[in-house]
Amino acid sequence: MKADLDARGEILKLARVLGVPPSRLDSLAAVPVDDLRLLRARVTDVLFDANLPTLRRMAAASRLIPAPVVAKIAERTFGPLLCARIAGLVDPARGVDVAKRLSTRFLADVAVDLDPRRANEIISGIPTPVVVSVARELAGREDWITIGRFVGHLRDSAISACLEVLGDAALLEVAFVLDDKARIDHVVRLLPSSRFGGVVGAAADSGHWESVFDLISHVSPVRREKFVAALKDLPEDTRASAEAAASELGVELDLS
Amino acid sequence: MVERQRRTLGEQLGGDPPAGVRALPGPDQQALADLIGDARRAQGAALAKAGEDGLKYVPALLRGAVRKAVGL
Repeated sequence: MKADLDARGEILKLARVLGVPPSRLDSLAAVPVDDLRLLRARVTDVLFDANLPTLRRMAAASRLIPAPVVAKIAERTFGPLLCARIAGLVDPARGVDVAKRLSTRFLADVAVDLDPRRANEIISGIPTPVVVSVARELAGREDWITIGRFVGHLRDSAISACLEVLGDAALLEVAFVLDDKARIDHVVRLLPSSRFGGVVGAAADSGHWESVFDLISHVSPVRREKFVAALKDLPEDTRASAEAAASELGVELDLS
Repeated sequence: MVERQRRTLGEQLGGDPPAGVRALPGPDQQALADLIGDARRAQGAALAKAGEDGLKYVPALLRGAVRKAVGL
């Protein structure tokens, strides 16, 4: 079941890269998730490199123009896709200066198309309040995939600030589709222990137990114990529901 | 009208696709290759248009230098 969900997430991400509805990629449903991940990385590289000479010249030309004018051109003419392609080619300080002048909505649109691997320095240089605004915008769109793609590229202070505006249910959604699952424990370390109960409660409310089991499976033993303790604190019938879901999903869970 | 040569998935990706994708039926692989080709062409066209349209917002004094730098 987990592999199916991961594959669906990968197909959705690839569809975004190609600018097509996910239904156009239905034929990929049976492809193993690791191969889908590899395919997405390859396609991303192909598209980012396809017009590299032109993009490089545009990035160079942007240095001749005042940052406020570049921001205006970015929003009115270039649009989010081209800005995402160019972002990794401009001087990071310049990129941050321009990014600060863009509207939150536009930055969120750029984030959808951006390859964070190629714009790491800009992403980590964007002021925390701007990052939080974009995270809030993306959460409003329920775009957990985009938020999840950026987690591995943000400073801890920015992640902590984002955690404050992301609700417990949103946090579960993001963790479930996180690009780099190895980051989950690090992110959860930044989460106040007082929210562990809320996170478990969000899974109980939605019945989306696999998301919390997935989260628990990626954290350190100490934090796993805290989540299990929060599960044990649930009302008896809810606890029974969690145990039934765990059994169905093949997850070892003892809440007695 | 000359019909554009369709590139295979391997040609679009610049090498063999991942094993699980190679195992797909030929028509499905070609459909995927076509989607990548479409995305490349759309991106190229958008870039060319953006280069011209963007110049409208560049101050007149800088327009020549920017045009030269972009190669328009």
